[in-house]
Amino acid sequence: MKLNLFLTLSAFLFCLGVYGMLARRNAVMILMSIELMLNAININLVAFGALHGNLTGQIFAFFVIAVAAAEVGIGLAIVLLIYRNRASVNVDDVDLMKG
Amino acid sequence: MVGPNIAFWIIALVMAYAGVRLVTTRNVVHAALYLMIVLAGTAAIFLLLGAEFLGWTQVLVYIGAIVVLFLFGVMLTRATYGESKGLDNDQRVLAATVAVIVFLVFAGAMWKAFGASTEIVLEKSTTVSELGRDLMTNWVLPFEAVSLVLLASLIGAITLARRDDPEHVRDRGVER
Amino acid sequence: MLIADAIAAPPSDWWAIAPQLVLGGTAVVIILMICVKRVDPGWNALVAAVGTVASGVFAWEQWRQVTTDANPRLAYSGMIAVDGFSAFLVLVVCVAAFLGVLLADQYFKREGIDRGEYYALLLFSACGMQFMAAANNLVMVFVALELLSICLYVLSAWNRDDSRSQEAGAKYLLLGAYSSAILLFGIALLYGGTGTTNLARMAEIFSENVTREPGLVLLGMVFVIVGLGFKIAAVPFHMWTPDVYQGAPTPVVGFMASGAKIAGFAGLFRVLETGLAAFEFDWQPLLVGLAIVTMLGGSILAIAQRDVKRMLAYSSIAHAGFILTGLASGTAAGVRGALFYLVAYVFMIAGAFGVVALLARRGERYTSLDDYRDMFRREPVLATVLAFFLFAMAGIPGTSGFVAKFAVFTGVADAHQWVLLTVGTVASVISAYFYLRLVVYMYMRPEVDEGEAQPAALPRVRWAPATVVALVLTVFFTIQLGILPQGLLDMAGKATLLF
Repeated sequence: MKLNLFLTLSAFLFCLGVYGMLARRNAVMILMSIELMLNAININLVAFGALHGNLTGQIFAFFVIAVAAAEVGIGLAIVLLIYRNRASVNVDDVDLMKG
Repeated sequence: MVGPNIAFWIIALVMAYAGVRLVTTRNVVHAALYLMIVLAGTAAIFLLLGAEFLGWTQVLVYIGAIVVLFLFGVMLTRATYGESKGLDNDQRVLAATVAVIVFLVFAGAMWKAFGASTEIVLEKSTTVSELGRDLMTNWVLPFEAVSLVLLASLIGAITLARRDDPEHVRDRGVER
Repeated sequence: MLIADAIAAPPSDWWAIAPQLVLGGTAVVIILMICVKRVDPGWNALVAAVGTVASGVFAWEQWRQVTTDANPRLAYSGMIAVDGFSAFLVLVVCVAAFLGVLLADQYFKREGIDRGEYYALLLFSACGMQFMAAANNLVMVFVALELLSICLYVLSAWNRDDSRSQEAGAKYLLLGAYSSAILLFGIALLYGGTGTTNLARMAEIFSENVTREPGLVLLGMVFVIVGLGFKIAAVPFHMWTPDVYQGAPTPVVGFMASGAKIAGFAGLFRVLETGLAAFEFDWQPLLVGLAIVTMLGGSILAIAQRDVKRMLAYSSIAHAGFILTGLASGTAAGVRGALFYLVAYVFMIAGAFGVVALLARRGERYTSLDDYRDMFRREPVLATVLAFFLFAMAGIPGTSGFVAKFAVFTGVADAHQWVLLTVGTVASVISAYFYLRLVVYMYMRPEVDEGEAQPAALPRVRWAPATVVALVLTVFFTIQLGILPQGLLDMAGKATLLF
C-alpha cells in the first residue's frame, strides 16, 4: 500500500472540512465539518504510525477521538442554548456585537 | 498486495463522495448520514492500516455516539426534514478557492516528501495488549488529562443545558 | 497469572505533577461538595482559592528545587519537563487562577448566576494551562490545550440566558475548534516528518541531521504557529477576540485574557525553542512578522472602539504583540523580557477587567466610553485604580508596564533588530493614545441631555472583601514590579534555562 494514497485522501478530507467551515452558516453543519477535519487528521496519524512502525500515531488518534467527543458535546449544548433564545442556529444571525 | 489496494480505492472513493456531499447537501439529516459514511470509511481505513482496536473504537464512539448526538442536535433545533435553504452563506467561491489552495499545498508537500514509492509495510496488526501496555505506561499522563477533559465537558454540558430549580433562581435586584 | 507484575509500571514522579494534581483534585472536591449539598457558592470559591494557593506553594517548591539543586528533568516518559521555564509559568498560572477566583464571586452573585460549578471548571482550565506550561510532548500540548479551551468555551457562555454571552461561547467554540484542528494537522505533519512527538527527541533527530522531509516539517511548523496564534490572539488570527471578550462575563474575560495567553505562549515557546530549534532561521522571521502586525493591528484597531471591554480586547492583542516581540528577538534577554511582560500583563489585565466588571453594574449595561464620563466624581476610588492600570498598560515609568516594555526592547536591541524596535516604539505611542483617552473621558462632564440624568441615579458600587483583596494585590504588584523589578527579572532570567 502506498503511503501517499492515504496522505492524499486525508488532505482531501481535511480540505473539504475547511470548505465546510467557511461556506456553511448553520452551526450544526460547521461542527460536522470540524469532525470531518479531525477524522482526516486521524487517518494521517495512523498512516504515519504505520510508516514509522511505532504506536504513537494510534494512541494519539485515541486521544483525538475522545477530545472530539467532548468538543461536540459542548458545541451542541451551546447551540441548543442559542436555539432556545432565538429559534435559529445560523451563525450570521448571531451577530449582536459589532465594532 | 492487490487486495488491500483495491479495497483502499473503493473505500477512498466512497469516502470522497460522501465527504463532498456532506459539505454541499442542503438537507441536515442527510448531512449527518453522509458524516456516518465518512466515519465508517475511516474505520475501514484503520483496519487496512492494521489498527484494529482503533477501528472498532471509531465505530463505537463516532458512529455509535457522536452521530447520534448530531442527530439529537438536528432534531432539537427542529431542522426541516426536507431541503432547507440558507445552510450556506454567500462565500462559497472564496471557500472553495481556499480549500483547493490548501489541498494543493498539502498534497504537494506530501508527494515531495515521500514520493510515489514509499510503501507501508505492515508486519502484523497492532494487538490490544500492546496498545494497552503502551497507553498505561508511556502515555499515562495524557490519558489522565483526557479523562479530565471528558469530566470537565460533562460538567460543562450539564450546567449549560440544565434549567435551574426554581428555588435556585434567586433574583438579586440589589446592586452589590 | 499476575499481569500486573508483567507490566513495568513507570515510577510515579509525584513532585513533577504536584501543582496540577492539587488543582485537579480541588476541582473534584468542589464537585463533590456540590453533589452532597448545595451551599452558597462563596464556599466553593473559598475552596478554589485555597486550592490555587496550595498549588502555588507546590509550584514554588518545584521552582526552588529546580533552580537551586539545578536538576531539571523530564517526567512521565518525557511527557512533561520540570525545569525553570515550566515551574515559572506554572506559578504564574496559579496567580492568574487565584485572581480569577477572587474576582468572580461578587460579579456572579450580582448577576444572579452564581453556580459552584464555575470554580470547578475554572480550576480544570487552570490545570490544563499548567500542563501546557510543562508539556514536552506534542500529544501533551494538544490534550492540555483542549482541557483549557473546552472549559473556557463553557465559561464564556456561563451567563446562559444572556444572548451576548451565548454568542461569545458559540464563536469561541467554533473558531477554537477550528484552530485546534489546524494545530493538530501541524502536529501530525511534524510527527510524520520525524516519527516522534517528544520535543526533546525531535530536537535530537534534527541535530543528527537525518530529516528526510524538511518541507513537511516546515509546513507542520507553520500550522502549529497558526494554531497557537489563534490562542494567543495574534493578528491576523484575532478576529474572535473582540466579540468573545465583549460578550463573555467580565471575570471570565479577565481569567481568559491572562491564563489562555500564558498557555499559548508557553506552548509556542516550548515547541519552537526545544523541538524546532534547528529551524530557528525559518521560524524567527515568521514571529517577527507576526509580532509587527499584532502590535500595530491591536493598537490601531483599539482606537476605533467605543466599548471599553472591546477596547481592552484590542489592547490585549497589542500586548500579545509585545510579548511575541521578546520571543522573536531570539536572545535570552528578549525571552526574559517576554516572561517578565507576561507576569506584569497578568496583574494589569486581571485588575483592569476586575474594575470594569464592577463599573458595568448588573446586566453589564454600562461599558461604553460615554458611560465612563465623570467617573472620577462618581466612583473616585475605582476610577483612580482603573486609571492606574491604564497608565501601567500604556507603559508610564514607575509601573510594571514600563519595565516590561523596556525589558523586551532591550532584548530586541541586543539582537540589532531595528525594524522591530521602531515598530514597537511606534505601537507603544499609539496605544498610549487610547489608554489616556479613557482616562480623559473619566474626567469629562456628562453630556447634558434633556430629560433625566441617568448616571447620577446609580447607587455607589459596593465592594466585597474578595474583590478588595484582588484589586489590592494587582495594584500592589503593578507598583512593586515597576519600582523594584530586579527580583522578578532574575527569576525570569533563570526561567529561560530550559531543561
